[in-house]
Amino acid sequence: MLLREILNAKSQFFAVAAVMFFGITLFYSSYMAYFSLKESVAAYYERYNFLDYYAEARNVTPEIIKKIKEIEGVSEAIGRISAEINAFAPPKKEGAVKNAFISADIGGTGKNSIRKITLRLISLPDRNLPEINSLLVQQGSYFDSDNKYLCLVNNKFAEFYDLKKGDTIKTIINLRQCDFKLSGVVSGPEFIIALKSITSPLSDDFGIIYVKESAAQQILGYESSYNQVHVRFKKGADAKSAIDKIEKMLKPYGFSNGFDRDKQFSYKVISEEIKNLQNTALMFPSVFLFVAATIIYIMQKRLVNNQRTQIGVMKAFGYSNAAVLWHYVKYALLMAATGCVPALFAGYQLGSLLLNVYNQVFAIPELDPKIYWKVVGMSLFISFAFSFLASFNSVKRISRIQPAQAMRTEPPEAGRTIFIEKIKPVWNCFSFSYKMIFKNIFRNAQRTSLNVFGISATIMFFMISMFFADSIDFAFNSQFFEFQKQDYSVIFSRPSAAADVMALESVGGVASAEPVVQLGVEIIKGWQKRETVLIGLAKSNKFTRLIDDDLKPMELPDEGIVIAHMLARSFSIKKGDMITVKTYIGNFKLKDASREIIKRVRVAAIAKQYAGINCFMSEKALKDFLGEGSFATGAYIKTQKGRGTEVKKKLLEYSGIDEVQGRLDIYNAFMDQLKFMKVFVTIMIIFGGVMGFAIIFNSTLISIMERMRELASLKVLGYTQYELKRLLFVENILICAFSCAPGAAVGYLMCEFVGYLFSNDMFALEIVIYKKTYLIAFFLVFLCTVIAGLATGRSLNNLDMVEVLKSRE
Amino acid sequence: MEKSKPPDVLPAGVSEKGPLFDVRDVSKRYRMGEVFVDALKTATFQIKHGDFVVVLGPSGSGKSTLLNIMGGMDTPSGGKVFFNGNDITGYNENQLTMFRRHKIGFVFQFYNLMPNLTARENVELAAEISPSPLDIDMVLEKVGLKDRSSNFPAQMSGGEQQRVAIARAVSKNPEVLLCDEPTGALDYSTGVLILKLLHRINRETGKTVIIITHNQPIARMGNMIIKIHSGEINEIIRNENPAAPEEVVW
Ligand SMILES: Nc1ncnc2c1ncn2[C@@H]1O[C@H](COP(=O)(O)OP(=O)(O)OP(=O)(O)O)[C@@H](O)[C@H]1O
Ligand SMILES: [Mg+2]
Repeated sequence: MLLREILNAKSQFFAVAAVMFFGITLFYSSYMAYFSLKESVAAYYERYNFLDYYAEARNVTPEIIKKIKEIEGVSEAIGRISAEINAFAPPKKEGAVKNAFISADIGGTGKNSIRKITLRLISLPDRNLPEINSLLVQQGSYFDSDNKYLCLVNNKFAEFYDLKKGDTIKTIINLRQCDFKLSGVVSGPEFIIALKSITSPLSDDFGIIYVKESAAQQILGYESSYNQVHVRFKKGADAKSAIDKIEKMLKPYGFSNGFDRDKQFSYKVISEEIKNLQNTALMFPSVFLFVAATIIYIMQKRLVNNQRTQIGVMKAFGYSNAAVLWHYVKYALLMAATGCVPALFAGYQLGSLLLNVYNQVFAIPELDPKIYWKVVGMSLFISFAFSFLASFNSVKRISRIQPAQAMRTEPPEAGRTIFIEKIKPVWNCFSFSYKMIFKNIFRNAQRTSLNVFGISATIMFFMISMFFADSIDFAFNSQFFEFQKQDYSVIFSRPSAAADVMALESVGGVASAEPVVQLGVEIIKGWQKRETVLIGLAKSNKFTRLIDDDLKPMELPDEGIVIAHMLARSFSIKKGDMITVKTYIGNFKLKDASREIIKRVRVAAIAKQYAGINCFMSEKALKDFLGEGSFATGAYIKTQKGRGTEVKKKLLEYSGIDEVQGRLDIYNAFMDQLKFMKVFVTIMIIFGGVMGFAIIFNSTLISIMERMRELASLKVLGYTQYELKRLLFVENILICAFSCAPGAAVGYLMCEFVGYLFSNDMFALEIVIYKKTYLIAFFLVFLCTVIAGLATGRSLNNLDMVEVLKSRE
Repeated sequence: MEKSKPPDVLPAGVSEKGPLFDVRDVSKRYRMGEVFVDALKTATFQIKHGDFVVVLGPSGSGKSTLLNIMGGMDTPSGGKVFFNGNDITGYNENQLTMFRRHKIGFVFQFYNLMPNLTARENVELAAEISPSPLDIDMVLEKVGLKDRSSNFPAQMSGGEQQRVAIARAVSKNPEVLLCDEPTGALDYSTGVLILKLLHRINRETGKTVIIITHNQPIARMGNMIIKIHSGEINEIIRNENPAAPEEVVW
């Protein structure tokens, strides 16, 4: 009996199963990735003794480290040196594996060109692996000889340049070249993701180099002392009081900053990614599951209505309520199973794909796909729970059906006047067939509103799938084409006189140059702190465009600081407020050789910044803030047409220049990363399309079945097949059109909500939805309607008038 | 609905002298698994323009089957049906639709009205697709429902609903009304009212009316009576003195 019913309504059955399939596939894959990522990372942190806390201080002696170890709650403490240095990019070897995610190729990386990159140098014990932030040696070995100039590099960096044991890394430290011999390739929990900063996507110009403590101390001028302390606490220890003690202890040794584990860059990025993954795992699948449940609900409600008489007969024969109920619920559970079981396999595949992507971006050992029985269990549970609840609620009315009553015929549906009929001038404009369509639409408020709900949900789904791309595209376009106008940004090895910048203009190919100061600063308001970059510019600068909150161009004010609107928003800073700005000057790359400056500064203006939270000061304001004469840490330059690469190459040969960043190179590198996003959007649109189709297909089929008798009567009257299909089709198109406005509104709100869920203190996205996206979403649901219309049209072809009209109701 | 022209297989103004319906050896056989059911066996008869025909037979005798074939709702297994000299058994789906649209008005036992349309709109539904519809208000007045024209089916009695159904069939201005047990669901006095109405339409407009019934007395109304039993036509009676509807008692 069940099988026959499935065959009867097989298209509906499979439409529901398909929605279930996609929902569970998404659920399974994202939860599988979520658990794998979460567990692998946690295990990695535990096994390799990832830090709990670290502090930066100018001059940490081994004695202090010993004392810190004795503090109650501290289980381990180490001192080390960390510094940013430059290096010549290793020559890229033939056939080097080019990672899709770090493939940004900076202009002029010919085989023999000299290119400077930035490395983070970290000191390690000369002989043994460190007790905190231990390393996994993936190739070669740990420092295995007495050679002072041995080094290790991180895995992603080695992969990109195809570095092997025995290769040489040429670094420039304090303007002196210093060569290290590579002894091994490692990865560690501290650099699961190694980027200079979140806004710097070029991971091929950044790497980690580990050298012997003795070498680091010697080259950087530390006499058996360190500039960082890393600490691990005992389980359950009072970390806060321990931290207080450590910081107090470090004060006389030039303590500048302390960080919890969750402020550590790599940790923060990974945690956010895990959090986002969990949000995704909840959000997208639930849309599908709700839609599947809704369809089941409507479908079975209709079925029970149609089979009232049979139900009455069965009950008259003595079947219990439970037996009859079970008959329907069983059907719904079978739909769930048909969708869910293959979805477990598809979900595993998609999940493996996702993990593969994570493996390319993150350096996590043993991030391999595996079967999580709890995810299998959860998938089965939610798919059965959703369909059970939907089905049960829909058919529970059965228990109220009295056999005697059910076998009597139901009173005919009461007609009523619909509201637009009362607006005569409008109503009279419609042709008769449109009047009929409108009456059908408003006839069954519940069915129509469920349809509107379903189609709105589809529109919303399409919008959520696409708005990220819009927002990011908008942010990058404004950043790289509206706000920045320079061709290259040059970074000097040390601060120079502003007048030196003029010398750059004499380099062949350079059209104009402008001095710029870039300082790492900390913005503090109350208990909130944030690291960012302060950019000092001449008042008359040509290359940086600032716009205020009303989107009007603005000039750099003479006094005070201009802060980014996202920073202003999250710290609730208003124009005119006083904030604290902290920085170090001197040698910017080596904090210890610098002087700390903390000052209260007035916020002169708030500027729109869609990608980043940079702050700005005019030359004069910066002079007041730092109390120094005018200087530059770099320059913005414009090149003559077509000579960019040549200029870049020339500039990099100057010893006083560390880096030359092309504006378009960075833009392209970002866009390159968005390729992954496009794949995501495409997959989501396909999923959403299937869902939209299933909704419209099912509701149309149901409405055909409910109106079978009416349609047959119309056919008898002489309505053609085409006219009948048109009636139904126009009805669907109109419902679809009615759904556009609520769909867009709900979609917009959901995008805001999703944007909020996915934002954090490193990354906040201005929610931008292009008009194009609305139009595409509308177009896609209309397309779903058309396809569903074509697919349901078939069922009208074999509408047998004689058969339908033979029986009464 | 756009108004489609009658297809050219139905030339207008076929000779008045020929019969309206010429049914020749029409049969219908249903297959139910291994068993065949002969619902209709070689029915042959002719119906003239303006006839008031009553098809009489017990339940299951094949009356509906015959009517459905004549009205272009169903196709026979054998034989031919000519309408005004055109062989409708050779029509394709589309031609049959046009045939029903232009020539036939159906009335059923269970009215089959659209529940969400008013009486007037139900009539409009049919007039809408006819190339030469009658005035809707006039038709409603004729069936005595002028005042109820804005009522919905659920607000009307069975007799009133059946009158709407008749108005709907008539408004298309068809050549023939095919009524399958039009009084089957009604009480006696309401039934008589419906028969009167059909009778009047036949007399005043000269439209051919074919009524199916299993009530012997109703048959006396017809000027032609077709008696059918187990799919076979037993008797065709030409009744020179048809009874008036009021005289019919069952
Ligand atoms: N689709 C079908 N499949 C099989 N047999 C059928 C089918 N339709 C009708 N029949 C059979 O054909 C025969 C004639 O049916 P029909 O509906 O024409 O009878 P009827 O004279 O109209 O009866 P009633 O007065 O009860 O309406 C019946 O025996 C019926 O069982
Ligand atoms: Mg019958």
